[in-house]
Amino acid sequence: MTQAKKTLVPGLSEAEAIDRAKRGDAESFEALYGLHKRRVYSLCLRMTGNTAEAEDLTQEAFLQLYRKIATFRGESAFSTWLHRLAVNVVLMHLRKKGLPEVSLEESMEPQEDGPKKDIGARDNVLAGSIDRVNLERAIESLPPGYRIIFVLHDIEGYEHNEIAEMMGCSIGNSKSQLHKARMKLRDLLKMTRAEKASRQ
Amino acid sequence: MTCAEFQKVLPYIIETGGIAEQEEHLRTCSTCSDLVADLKYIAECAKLLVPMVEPSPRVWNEISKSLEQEGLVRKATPRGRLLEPTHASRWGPAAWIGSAAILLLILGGLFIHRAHSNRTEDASLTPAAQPARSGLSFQGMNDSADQQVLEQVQTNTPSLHDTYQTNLQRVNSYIADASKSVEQNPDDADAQQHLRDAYEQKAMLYDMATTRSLP
Amino acid sequence: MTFRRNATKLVVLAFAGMAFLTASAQTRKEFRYTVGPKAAVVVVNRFGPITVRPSSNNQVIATATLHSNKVEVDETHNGNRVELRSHLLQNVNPQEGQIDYDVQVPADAMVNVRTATGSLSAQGLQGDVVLVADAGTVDARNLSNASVHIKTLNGPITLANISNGQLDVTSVGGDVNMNGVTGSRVNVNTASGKIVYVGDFGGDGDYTLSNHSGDIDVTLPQNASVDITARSVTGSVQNDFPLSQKSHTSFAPTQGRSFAGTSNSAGSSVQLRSFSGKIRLKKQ
Repeated sequence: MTQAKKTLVPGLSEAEAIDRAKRGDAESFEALYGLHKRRVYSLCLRMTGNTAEAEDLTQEAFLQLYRKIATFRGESAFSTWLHRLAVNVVLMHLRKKGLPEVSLEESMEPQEDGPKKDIGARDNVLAGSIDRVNLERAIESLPPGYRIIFVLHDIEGYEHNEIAEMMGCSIGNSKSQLHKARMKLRDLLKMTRAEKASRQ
Repeated sequence: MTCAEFQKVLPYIIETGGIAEQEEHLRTCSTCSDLVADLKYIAECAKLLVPMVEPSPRVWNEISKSLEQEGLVRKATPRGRLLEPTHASRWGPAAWIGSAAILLLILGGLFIHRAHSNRTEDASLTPAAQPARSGLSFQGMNDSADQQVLEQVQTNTPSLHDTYQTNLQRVNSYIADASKSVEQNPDDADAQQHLRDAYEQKAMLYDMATTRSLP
Repeated sequence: MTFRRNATKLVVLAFAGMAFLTASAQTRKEFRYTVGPKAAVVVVNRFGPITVRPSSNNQVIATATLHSNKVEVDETHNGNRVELRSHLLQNVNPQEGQIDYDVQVPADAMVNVRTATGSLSAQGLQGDVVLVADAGTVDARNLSNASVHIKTLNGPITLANISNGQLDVTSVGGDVNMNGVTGSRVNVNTASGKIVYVGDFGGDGDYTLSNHSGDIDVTLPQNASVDITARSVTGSVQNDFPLSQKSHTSFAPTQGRSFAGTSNSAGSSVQLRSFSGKIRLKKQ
């Protein structure tokens, strides 16, 4: 979404809707929910991989938003503020569950000693062969620690320094985990492509 | 520099670039350059993952209940709504038309964005096209969006084209009648509600036509 | 004569042969998953019906009948979520691309199914249900304690014995038939579809039945407890049910275009709204 003025209703901007929501206007709440629900829910779903949890977290994120909306001063875009709030809600939930948000160990999986040398490597590049459904599925099947970093960086656009602050890890660790996530996705997507080719 | 040495530092240089030796290795090693191309391609595709899924309506229902219980909103009175004295809504009839129509603007915009994403999804490392600008009038966008919806249905499920076309005509007819009624009776809450219902139906139709939940 | 009889026999045999060949191209696949409470079950189909009914244990059991080898089922099972999605392998016609699904789920499962052309049927469930059919019929019965959402373009919708939950139905052109449907909130919205309601409105809920050009027919028992308002903007209304007049309404009732009144303790709020159709209220 751009930073341009968003209009919810002719003559009513998002800023005015936020203003009205601060005063308890029910329709403004609903309009803001309608505008942002997909992005928040998608974020929660991708980070947790579970629709029931994602719905509960979406609900919690918006409730926190509405409780705190009076404190929103417009220093950042509303969507950025809401988004950060949603990320924090998800991370808190994961901490309570005791899931590893980020593995602090450099290797969750055995490292290969040497580089992968693919025979006929040029034919196996992924470019042009990924479709949305397969990518979403592959992301879903990532281990939770990898998935969270990948979602935050590559999908949601957070920088490594922001991720490091949110997750309580180093920037180097964030980069390393992102790399592992992408490598794992590469393997999964190549496997999917190979399976499809063998079926035909 | 060996591939092992290059791939060890790759996580830290893939976005910013490396020193001369690393760049030279990338230029001359097909294995590592293919790897980097793949990883960058995955990252680019991830950026194009537009939020497509919606939470179930239950989520808003629960939020709404909590907002009332916590006193964050003025309590809604759905029962006996019609018992309240008729009065012009705070926003006026134009806002009711507009608030119902934002569903279409949002979905129309989403549709155009998805249509652009569809075309660019196969192109490697091509940034997603920007959604249609809001310079179009609402009516213009409506007609254009209707056409694009039907084209997409024709492409994806030709057997459903006539179904969508017929039902699009039905909802447009509903919208036209309800709009006229609101113009003639701007204070009529019932007329306003009919218009909102009509737009809701059209929004549902757009959503069904454009969602990629269908195989 | 003999020649014609023989020719007829040949034609019959030919059809039987074709039917056999067609049938033999069908394959059945079964999928079984063990799930926990409130599992999410999603089935997405393009061509073909989907039936959902309760299983007797904590398993999701899906039987898919594939009508050709040009279509397959993509299955995903992640924790408590099961997704079955028809996958058309190449450009196929609706007959080749058809898959018939019969899915058994734990009664408390959250079910979300969609088919483009084909019927949807859901029965005996107690979890949230979302049914979306572009051009198919929808039949939902014996659902309780849940949020039910139904969307169709064309398909007629039949609802029976749905209670203790919330119901949202939106259909552009399909008729909606309801018998024994009650809940805390029931909204039905169609454009040209006819809405038929038979029942007592539960005695404690909010009901809105609304359409553009279709008729609305409501049949109530004498003991129904309702606060009812009916209004057609350009159509007509007809009341054959005894109602006590309301002292306050938000509009001036117009003879032939609207009426309002209460019955017994006015427990449920019922709004019948048509733009140009006819609204009829009758006694059972």
